[in-house]
Formats: sequence, structure tokens, C-alpha cells
Amino acid sequence: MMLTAVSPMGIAIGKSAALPAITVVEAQERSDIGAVLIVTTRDGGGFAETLSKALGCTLPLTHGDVLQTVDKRAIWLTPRSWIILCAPDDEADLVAAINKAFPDREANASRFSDALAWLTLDGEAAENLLRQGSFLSFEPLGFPIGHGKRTPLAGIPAIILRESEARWTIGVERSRAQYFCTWLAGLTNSFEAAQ
Amino acid sequence: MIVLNCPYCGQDRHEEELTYGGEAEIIRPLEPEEASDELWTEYLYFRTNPKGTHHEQWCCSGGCGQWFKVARDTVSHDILEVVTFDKRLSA
Amino acid sequence: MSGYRLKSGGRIDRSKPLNFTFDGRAMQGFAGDTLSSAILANGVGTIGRSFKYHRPRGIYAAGIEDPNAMLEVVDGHGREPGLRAGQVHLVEGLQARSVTGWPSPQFDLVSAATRLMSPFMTAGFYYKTLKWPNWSWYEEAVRKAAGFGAPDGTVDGRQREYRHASCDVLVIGAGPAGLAAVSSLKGSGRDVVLVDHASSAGGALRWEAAQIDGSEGMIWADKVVADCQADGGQVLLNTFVTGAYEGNYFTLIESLVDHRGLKAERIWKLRAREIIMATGAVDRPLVYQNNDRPGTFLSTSVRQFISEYGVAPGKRLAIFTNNDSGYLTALQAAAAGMATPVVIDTRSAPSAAHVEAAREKGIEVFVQSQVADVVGGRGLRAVRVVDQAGKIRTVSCDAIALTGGATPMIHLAAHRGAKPIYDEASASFVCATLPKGWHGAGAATGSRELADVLAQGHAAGQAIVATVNSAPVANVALGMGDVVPMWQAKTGSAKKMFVDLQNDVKASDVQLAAQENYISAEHLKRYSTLGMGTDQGRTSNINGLAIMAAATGREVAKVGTTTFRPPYTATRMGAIAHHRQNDGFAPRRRMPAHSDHASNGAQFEDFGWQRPDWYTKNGSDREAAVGIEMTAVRTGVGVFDASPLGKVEVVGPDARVFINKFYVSNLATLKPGRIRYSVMCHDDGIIFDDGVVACVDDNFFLAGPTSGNAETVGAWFERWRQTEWPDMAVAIAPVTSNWAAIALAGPKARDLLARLSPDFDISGEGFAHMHFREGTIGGVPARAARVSFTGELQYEIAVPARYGQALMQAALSEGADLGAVPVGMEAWLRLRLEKGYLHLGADTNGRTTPLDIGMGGVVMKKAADFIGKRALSLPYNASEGREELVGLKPVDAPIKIGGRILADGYAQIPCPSIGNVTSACDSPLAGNIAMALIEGGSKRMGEKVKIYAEGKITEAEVCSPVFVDPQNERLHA
Repeated sequence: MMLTAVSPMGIAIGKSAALPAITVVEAQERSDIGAVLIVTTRDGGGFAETLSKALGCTLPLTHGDVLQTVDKRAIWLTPRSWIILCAPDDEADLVAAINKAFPDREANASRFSDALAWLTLDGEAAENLLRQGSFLSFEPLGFPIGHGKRTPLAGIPAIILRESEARWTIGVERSRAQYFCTWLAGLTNSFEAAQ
Repeated sequence: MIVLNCPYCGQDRHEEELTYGGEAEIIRPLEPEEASDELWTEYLYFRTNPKGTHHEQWCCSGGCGQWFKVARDTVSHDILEVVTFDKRLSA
Repeated sequence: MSGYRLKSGGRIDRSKPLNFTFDGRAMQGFAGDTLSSAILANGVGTIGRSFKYHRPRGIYAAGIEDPNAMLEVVDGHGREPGLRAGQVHLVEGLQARSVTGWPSPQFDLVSAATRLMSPFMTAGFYYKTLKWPNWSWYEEAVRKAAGFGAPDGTVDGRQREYRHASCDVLVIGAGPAGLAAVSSLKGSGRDVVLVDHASSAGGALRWEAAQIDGSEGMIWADKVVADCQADGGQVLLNTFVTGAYEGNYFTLIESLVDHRGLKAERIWKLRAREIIMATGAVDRPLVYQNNDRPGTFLSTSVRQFISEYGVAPGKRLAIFTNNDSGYLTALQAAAAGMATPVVIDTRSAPSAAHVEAAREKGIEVFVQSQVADVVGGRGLRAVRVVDQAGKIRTVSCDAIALTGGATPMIHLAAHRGAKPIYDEASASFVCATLPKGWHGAGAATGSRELADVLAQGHAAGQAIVATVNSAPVANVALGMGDVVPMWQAKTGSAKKMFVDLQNDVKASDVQLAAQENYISAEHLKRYSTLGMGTDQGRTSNINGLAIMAAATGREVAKVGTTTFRPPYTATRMGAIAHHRQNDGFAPRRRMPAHSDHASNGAQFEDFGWQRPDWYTKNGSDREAAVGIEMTAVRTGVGVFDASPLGKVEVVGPDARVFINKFYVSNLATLKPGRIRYSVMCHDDGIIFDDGVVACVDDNFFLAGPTSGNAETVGAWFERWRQTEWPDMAVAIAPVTSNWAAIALAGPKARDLLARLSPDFDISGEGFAHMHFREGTIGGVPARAARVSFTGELQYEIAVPARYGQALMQAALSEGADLGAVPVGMEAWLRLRLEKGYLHLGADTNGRTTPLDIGMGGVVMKKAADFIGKRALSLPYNASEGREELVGLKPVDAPIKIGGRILADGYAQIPCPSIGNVTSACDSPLAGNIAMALIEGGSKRMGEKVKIYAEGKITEAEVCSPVFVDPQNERLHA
């Protein structure tokens, strides 16, 4: 017997699909994004080199930084943890590589692809939409293109990546994906439309 | 609506991104079994509750998840000092 | 009453007539009108009845300070039961209705009745009648008579938006002071947000005659706004700042009005580094006999009606004043072509320039005079003017404009705790010290002359950042001058002098409060309801406080003010709620197999997650379905979705030492591949979670907190690691939502697991009770635990969440011939009750320790310290007679959950209680069973106790809480 996989919003893994209920911007579910959670037993610096080698990707050491290679993005979460975004199929290999490099688990990698649902919002109005649900760390000067942050959004924890001026990728807990999409779909843009 | 600049991630965090953790610099006796009932009760329950400068624990729970210490004026809500958890407040 | 549209003037667009109705009557206004100005222009006098006495009331002011003009409004976007007419933009087709008279404000039946009751409705009416003789005698009549409209039960369809933002400088108020500050900051590089509640900037410049920097005031205002926008500043019109909070954080409500009405609202949560408070002031009325008659207006509002809306509030105006600004109103009325007005000035020596300017226009001025009474009930016909010598003259007029000085709008600073102090020169309360980062300017600080206002605004800007911009220069003929207070007219009955028009509080009520010793500002407010209306006493507070001062022989300054609290003005609940209605009310969490549960007829309950309580697939009603689900587990196999169960990975060289500090059981000896059940305490020894811990390897423990505490426990570990044991080599990875989990429970659970293709040995010996395995199931990575919440052979299988749906489907289809059914929460909780297993939060409360639930032996065996251990030996935790968890069997009638246990020796209530029933249910195997926390419970085995529940007293026998399979034979099958 072989179990089959579906994404949080019901699409196949490895794909992205439009979410037509969200009208103000172009929204897509991104089940082509997989993830690994790395935690360490000491503040990041100490293990960064070994970790980077095992990962094939340098780990950022400050808040907001997202370091990127062709197939991976490393997001700073806390002084001792990171999320690595990768292809869903690479998750198991990355976990194995890191845990092999740290047999005593001074640093540890966990499967995390299924913990989060990822959405990409594209469009001029995206920033306004996100400002309807998030806080001060969401300042124009404080959120440069290329940065990633963890902050509550729409009342739930979220990881927000700014990919370009008008393109944002957001990770929310899988169990809350439906709520988050409903929230986005319920937002309007009447003020901007009126101007 | 308190806003604190988290000393770990450097972000201004809004009250709804933060968790309050009670008075700071409460010392848990290192040898619990040797602590008297009075000492343990003091550690568990007794707090200063001042009008004025109060040393507090806060967590950047919506952000980087780190606990830090804050000196806050309980009358004006002015934030007097914010330090990482390994440091002592001077305010 | 005879308001009318002036032939010319105003900032309305006379080329755009708009049709609307008021109480069903067709009327016309113009684009640019508010509902107030449009109603006034149509000659309407009475727009409603007062709150307590049902006296006729008319439009009183142009803005939100109007205590009378609360109307039901239907526009193209919806209906609202009570809006301030001065805040409603007139649109085509708008329907407005009175909400305070029945059957109509002109002919009010309640009024006749309340007139009879009015002697009773004095200060403290509610306090007194709620106590004596019997509130219910009055309630129906009072409820019918009171209130401002009723919601009709329909959903408000207006759009709502939120916006979180920050800025360098928030300028509150786009009047001359705010604009002077903005112009001072021009080119400074500061990020400015300028806010005003009106639909255009300018503030009083919209209706006052003034020149600034050589141009007409509004031309100057428009230029400042345009420059600000060109500079990157943001100008928010139709926007109220509703609250000011710590950290200079503000809430704003912005309205978007289109041709159909109020289309959308946006709540701003704005944080500002510096604040310019240029919130202006409103006129203060004067207190005299029958000062509430329709046709009575605030003086500045009259100027606003004339010059901003081109509306004359009456044919002939009387102005009652104690300062120079009354003359400005008279002059504007004369200039607008209204009949020559008359000025009644309380002062002995008014400004010669003002008097002369008035007399030049033929305006009669009475000095050292007051209004003693008015003539006319539903409409003003004349006023009786009394002079210093007591001589009374009747002056005919159909409208009267009042100014007793100005009341600065200090609410926002006061929200932040700034203390209002009494300022003699302006006879008003101002904030001498503002919060950090705040700069006051203009009438909000008590300033009364335009030149001062502009200079203050400029200085406020310069205080933030020095620029080369020069201060605007005003050219204005006449100002407001000093205010000579007149708090209450000398002549007339205090019982007909209204202080708070919205709450119908009279001067006599304030005096009665003083007599009954409610003399502090806060007591006066609550006792008399002065200032408690939706207008928050904008026009009434200071008069009431001054009358209290006089009644108690104190200075006004000594009485002080009441506390101002947000919101500054009434705010729609819909705007605050935003999307948080229906499904958006609380973020619902769904399990990966949610849609499968739904198609099996799951009746979802919110347990933090949406979880099936029972399945209609199993039975047509809850009891039937739950019975089938329980029987399946006891005889075949049940499939339960356990996905929300917490999963926290604790890793690192110190993982074992670390995790052993949290659980009351000894985990130092837990071998890889083994599982232990335990509870966790706070350091005061009180249980806060329970669950199993698996040792994956020596440096890797997997904790399984309860679903409700999954996040809390992860954060709890993390907090202790950071704050108490920062040097421990341990890391915490909360991974709950990454894994979907199902439990297979029942004698055929192993058969079913075998069909799901596990790649590891699942035989009884190969995978014994309390063992943990990693491997694959159904070809995908899996974690399997053999643990039991039901007392049956049970496996919990976790797979990555993407496979959760397929796993649930596979378990039910592969198990169909084994009798597999989906099992909901209710059956699951009853199954555990049959076994006497604890349900955290139901069978424990905020006082329950491990010793109280029979874990004393486990605690005793553990040598190492753990969180909560020391507290367990504190005298009150170690004492005899604490509430302990036991089982109960009924003697005469079924046991009800929540029932109180009667103390020994009592057969009736009231009596002391020694505990309560924490869980109870009907079990197919054991009948009616229960658990209870009872004082000294463990020593009461076999005793009978009496239980009080739902009005009945029943009897039960204390027993062991294990009702099914006490030998655990099923568990180890």
C-alpha cells in the first residue's frame, strides 16, 4: 500500500495553484516549497560552519536575512533556529545530511515541509492586504526586498518573505491554511479602488 | 499598547507580538530540597508590585521567541531599559 | 422653527441637488451638506425627543458635539440605528428618521407619561429605583422611553479594512494650528500624517473670515495640504483619531463615502514618534431656563452653518455670549442677509471694537444681561432678557446662539494620562503637561486668537525639527478675547436649566448630587449620568463641574474632571470587528483529514482545533453514535484522529537531563524506543499538562503534550532553557502541525495496522505496550507509538501531514471488515473514563497536584529535582484532607457532571461542600460512572456521599476510578 499526498489546500505536492477566491491580488498556493527546521543547542555562530557545509547553503546570523542558493533559502528564525526552504523532495536528504554531521544532536534538523502552508501574493495591493493583518515590524523601511520575518499575521503566526516590490511569500501553519485563505479572500481594497 | 524593541532581533514589537512573563530577577533557589518553606514560598509567590519602576520579563513570542528583561514605569508605561536576559537591569 | 437655505454662500455645490427624506418627508439638500445642515435648511425644528423627559429637541451643533442629533440613517450601503447627523455626508436617496419619539417626535405619547413621572427621574434615579421600591415596576416604561434607536438584526454589509502603519509626525487636526505645524515641517524630511475628521482641511477656516499670508484662509489651507502631499506626507480626511495609547500608538477610523453613502471604513493602528495635538475646541453652551428648546444652537456652529453650508438656522438670531466670539456670529448673520440679530452679553465691559462693529451693522447689544427664559415650546419665538437691574425685556427671535467660551478637545492627551488643569484665562480645562513626544497647539491648548494659534502650530513643528520655514501671518479683524465665566443664569428655575442635553441632566440634578454628597467629579458623573452619553459630555461636563463647584463652595479647579477614555467618538462595532465575524471570528484549525471527517458526518466541535465530536455515519443521534463508536473500540477497532496531539522534539547532549526536569516521573532511566506517561507541573506543584514522552535515542526525546497545550508546552520548555538553564546543551523543535496522527484502538487494532504495510515488527512481543518505533507505514515515513488512552490495544501512528487524509481513508477502508469505524471525541473521552484515565482540565483544576491524583508513589521514587517538586512538600500541599481524584458509582440515580459533594453529615443544601463530580457518563460496559475530586477521597473507598446537581440530591458510592478491565489484560493484548 502506498499513501498519496495532498497539499493543505488540496493540490498535488510539488505544484503551485491559483487561489481564485482571493481577488485583490494574484494568489497561489505553493506546494512546491518544502522546508527543514534546524535547531541548535548553542547560539548560531558556533555551528554555522559545519551546518553550512552539510546544507550547502550559508546560514544567516541576523534577523530578517534570507540567504539564498539556487535551490535553497535559509531564513533566520531565532538565534538558535532556522528554516531552510527547499524542494519538497530534498527534505529527507537535508535532514539526513545535517543529522549525520551532528551525531550527538548539538544541532538537529526536523522535517518541516508539512508544518507550513505557503502562499504567494503578487500585486500592487499585496502590501496593503498584509498591513491589514500585521504589526509594526512590517514597516516599509524595515522590510526590504529579500528579507524574511516571523510575525503574527491575521492573528496567527506567519513567516513572511518579501520577494520583490509586489511579490510576497507567506508561510502559515498548515492547520490554519484554510482560515488564512478565507481571511485573504474577505479583504477588500475599497480605499485604493476609490482613489 | 506597549511597544518594545527586542534586543535579540532588533525589531520594534507590538504588544500583541509579545508575552509578559511577570517580574524579572526572581531567583529560583539552586538547591530546592535545602530551601526552607519560607524561602520557597517567597520565590513562588512574593512579588514587589511597585508603583514606579518595575523589572519585568517579556518574550518576543510573535517574533524571535527570546525572553528579555525590561524596566517599565508602571504609572507612565514608559520603557526605561531593555536588556538581553543574561544582563541585569540598571534602571 | 424656521431654518432656511441662504441665497448664496457656503462651500456646498448648488449645482448638485440631492434628494433625501427625514421621517418620510421628501427634502432637498446639496452636495457638501451634512445631514444636520440639510435638515436645518429644510426648516425642521424638532428632530427628536430627549432621553428622560421626552422634551422636543432640535439640531444644536454642526459637528459630533451635538447632543441631540442622533438619527437612524439608511444610505445605499446599509442602515444604522443611531448616527450623529453632523457626521453624515448627505447623499442622494438617504433616509433619516428620528429615533427618540413615539409615534413621532412632533407628537410624542411617551412625553405625556414621563411628564407625570419627571419628579422621580432626578439624579440618582437608577441608583434609587434599582434599590427601592422595585425596579421592575419601572423597567418596562423606562426601557421604552430611553435609548437611541434599535438595530434591526440585519448584517452590516459595509466593507472594513485595517491598516497598520507608523510615521514620524502625526498631526491631529487640520485646522490653522495643525496646518501651521505642517507648513513648519515642510522640507524637513519627516514622514507626516495629517488627520482631520472633516472632509476637507482648514478647520475653522472653513467658516471664519481670515487672511493668512496674504490669501484667504482656505486658499492658504489648500496650499499647505498640497505641499504636504507633494512632500510625501499622508493626509487622512474623514478620519477620527479615536484613541491614544502607550508607546504613542493611535487608533484612527477613516470613512470612505461614495455617492451612495458610507461605503467602507478603515481602522488605522498607527504609531507615531512625535504628535502635534491640534484638536481644536467646541463651544460651551450657557445654562439658563429652557435652554434646550429647538432653535438653540452653539454659536460657532451657527457660523459654520451660515458660512460652510449656506444655511441660516433661523430668521432672526439672538446671540447669548460671555466673550467676544458671539459678536463674530452676529456679524456673520448680518452679512449673510439674515434679519438683524441681537447680542446678549453677560459682561459689563465687552471689547469696544466688537461692540462698535456690531452697532455699525445696526445690531442691538445688551450688556450685563442674561437670558432668563424663552418663549415657545416646540419652537423658539422669543427670549426674555434680564439686565443687571433685573428689568426683563422680551426679544423676539426664532433661534439663539450660545457661547460660554470654548472647551478644548484634550481627550486624546487625557487618554494617555495627561492631567487636565483649570485655566483661568480661557475658563476651561487644558493639559499643562503633555505626554512624551506630544506638542500642543491652537484652541486645544486654550488659545483664542488666530495669530497665537498659528504661532503655536509653527513652534510645535520647529520643536520637532528646526527648518527655515517662517511662521504664517494672520490678518484677522476681530477675535474671541477673554472669557468671563457665567456658569448658571441668575434668574430662572434650576429644574429647567439643562446641563447635559443628551442625558437630560439639569442644574438641579447637579445640586441634588451635591446635597446627597456625591461631590467628586467621578461620583457626580455616575450619580447624575452627567457626561455619560454618546457625546461624552463634550458640551456639558465643564458647566456641570462648575455648578458643582458653586454648590459646594469650591473653585472649579478643585472639582477636577472625570477621566477621558477611548474612543473619542462613537465607533462602529463592525469597524472594530473587521473580518472577525462568522468563520473569521477565531482562527479555526483544521486537521489534515478534515474533509473526510465531514463526509463521514462529523459533528465538529472546537477544541482549539475543529474535531469530530461524533459521526452521523455511526448513528442518527449523539447517544446512539457514541455507543456504537465505544463498542467498536471494545470489540473491533476504532479509528480516531489524533493529529492535534502535541509533538515537541527535545534534542542535544543534555536532552535527557533537561526533559527529566519537567515531568514528575523519572525519565533518567527511559531507554531508547520506550515511552513513559507522566504529568508536568508548574513550580507551585500544580499539574498543568500530562502526556507521554518517547525516548527516540539518548539525545532525542519526543514529548507528547495534550492537544490544547501543544504550543504552551513547547514555549514552556523554551522559556526554562533560556531563562533558567541557558548553558544546557539542548534544543527544542515544536513540530506538532508537521504530523498527522491517527489512533487505532481495539482488539483488532493490530490486524488493521498490519494491513497499512508497516515496515517493522508489530507483533505483541516485537512492539509491546509503551514502545516507540520509527519506520514507514503505507510507504511513507512514520512514527508509531503503542500507548493507550482507551485501555485497549492501541497504536498511535504519525505520518507527515500531507498523507493524513490518505491514512485516515486507508484505515477506514482497510478496516471495514474488521468493524473499523471513525471515533469522535465524546466516545474517546468516555472510553478513557471507563479506565479512570485523567482528562486534564476536567479531572484536575487549579489546585490539583500529582499527589492528589494518586501519583504520590511516582513522585517519591524520583530523586532528581523537577519543576514543582519542592512545592509538593509545602505544608498546604502535603496536608491531609485535600481533594483527591476517585471514582463514583451511583446508588439511587445517575451522577451528573459538575455536581457538588455535600459535606459529611449534611442531607440538604445549603451546606459546605467537599468536592465535585469532574467527569460522568453512561458506559455500555459499566453503566453510569463518574470521577470526582473529593476531600480525603482516597480514604473514603466504599463510603456513600450525597451529590447536589440540577436541583436534586442523589447518592453515590466512592470507588476506584477504574471501571473496566482493572487487570489491564486488554491493554497488553
